[in-house]
Amino acid sequence: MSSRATALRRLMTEYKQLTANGAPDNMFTAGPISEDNFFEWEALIMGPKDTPYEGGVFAAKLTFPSDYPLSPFKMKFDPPLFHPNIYKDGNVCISILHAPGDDPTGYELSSERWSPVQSVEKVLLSVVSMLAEPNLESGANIDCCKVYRENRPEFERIVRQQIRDMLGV
Amino acid sequence: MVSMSTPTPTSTAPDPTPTGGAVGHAAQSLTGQEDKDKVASMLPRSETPGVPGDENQLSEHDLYQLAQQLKDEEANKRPLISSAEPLSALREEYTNGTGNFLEKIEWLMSQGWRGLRRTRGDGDCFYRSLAYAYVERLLFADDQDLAVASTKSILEAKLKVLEQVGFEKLAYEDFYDAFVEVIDLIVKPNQHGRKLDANGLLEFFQTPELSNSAVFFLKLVTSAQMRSEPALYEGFLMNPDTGDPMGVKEFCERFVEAAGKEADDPMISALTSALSVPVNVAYLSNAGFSDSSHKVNFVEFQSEGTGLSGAEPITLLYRPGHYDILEKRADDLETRPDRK
Repeated sequence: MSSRATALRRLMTEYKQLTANGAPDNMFTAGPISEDNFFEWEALIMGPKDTPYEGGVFAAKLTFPSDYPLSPFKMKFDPPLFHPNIYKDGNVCISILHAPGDDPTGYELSSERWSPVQSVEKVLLSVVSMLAEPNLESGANIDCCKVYRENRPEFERIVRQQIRDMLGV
Repeated sequence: MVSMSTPTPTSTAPDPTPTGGAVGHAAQSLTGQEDKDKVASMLPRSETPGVPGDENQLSEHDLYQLAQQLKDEEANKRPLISSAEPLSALREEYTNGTGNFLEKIEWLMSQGWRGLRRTRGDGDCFYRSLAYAYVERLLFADDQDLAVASTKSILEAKLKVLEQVGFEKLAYEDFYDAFVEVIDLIVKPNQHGRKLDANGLLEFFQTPELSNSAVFFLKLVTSAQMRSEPALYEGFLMNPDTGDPMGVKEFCERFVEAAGKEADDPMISALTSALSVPVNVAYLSNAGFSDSSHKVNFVEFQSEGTGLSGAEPITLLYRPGHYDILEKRADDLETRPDRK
C-alpha cells in the first residue's frame, strides 16, 4: 500500500464524514477543489459571531502532503486575512498545524500540536477559535499584532473594511 | 525524560554516539536554537536587520522548508533502520574513549550479543526499534503460524482499547492495517507468491511512510494503554521541560501521540504491557559499574501474559538519548539468531 493511497483513503473518509455530518453550527465547509485531486481542498470559514470577522466568509486553500496524516496539511487564506496569526501571504500559523518539533514562532508549550489523531475538522475548529481569539504569543503578522495590541478600534476597522472589500460593497 | 530532541548541556562524558549522535541530533531537533541559527544562516540576510521578529515574519515558510531540507539531507546519511552490523564495529568506535563503554560492549559480546541494528536518531527510535524487533521475532519464531496468529489476536484486541479511550477509527485503522499486513506476509505469500523475509522486513522499515505508520500505531497503542489504566501511570508522568506532574490525557497528547517525542519508562512499560511482549533494555552508559562484575545493566519490562506467543524477549541497546536493537546475529546474512 503506497503512502499516497493511504493519504487518499484517509482524505476520502474525512470528506465523507464532513459532508455527512456538516460542521458544528455550520461554521465552515471544506472539500476537494476538484474530484480529480483530493490533495487540494478549499475551505470556506464563516466569521465568528461577536467578532470583527462576523459577516465575512473566508476562503482558504488546504494543501495535503502525500504522507498525510503523518504530516500535517498547510492552510492559506486566499485572499489573505488581516489577523495576528495569519502571515501577510495568507498562510495560517497555528500550533495544531505543526509537529512538536516545528516551532517557528515559539508556541506555548501547552499548545496543541499536529498528530494523526487530528483532522481537517479539528484544525478548522481551532482556526475558528483563533479568529475569535488571536494568540499574540505566537504572532505571524507583526504589524497586525501591534495594531491589535495598541489600537483595537483601528484593528476592528481594518478587518471590517477588508470584509467589505472582499464582498465588493 | 531523556530525549535527543531536547539537547542537554554538554557533559564531560564523551559523546556516546560518535558516529550516529551528531547526525541524529541535527536531523530531529530543529527546535533548538542552534538549529534555528543553522537554518537562519542559510537564508539571505534581511535588508532591515534589527527589527524584532522581522526575520520570522519574512521567512517562516522558508525556515520551515529549509528545516525540511536539512532533515531530508540528514535522512540520506542514515536509513531509518539499518542492516545489522557486528557489535565489534560499535566497540571500534569507543577504542579511544574511556574504558567503561569498551568493557561494557565487550561484556555484551561475551554474553552472546553479536550484532547491532541501528535506528535513526529522529526521536522515534524507541518505537521504531521495538516495531522492527517485534516483527522480526515473529519471522524467526519456531512456529511462525502460531506466533503470527497470537500476535494478530493481541493487536486486534487493541482496536477495542483504542476505541474505548476515544480515538476515532480514522485515526488508527490505516496504520493498523499496514502493520498487520506486513505481519501477515510472514505466513501468507503476497500476489507474487512471496513471503516476508529479512530483506523485505528491512525494506518495509526503511520506507518512511510504512515505517512511520508502524511507529505511529505503536504510539497510539501506548497512549491507549495509559489512558485506559490511568492509575497505573499517573504518578510517573511529568513534563520533561518543567518537571511538573501531568495528567495522563495531556501527557499522551503531547508526549506520546506526537511525532518525534522519545519514549521514557512509562511509555516502554505501557507498550510492553499492551503488546504482551517482554522487552529488555541494556543500558550502555559511561557510568561506573555497580559492582565488580563489569556487567551491563539490563532493565526488564515485563507484564502479565508476556511471552504468550513463545518468542524471545526483544532486547534494545540504550545509549543516553538513543535506542538501537541488540541482535544475536552479527549480520542479516545469518538466517537465524544464534540460539542457546
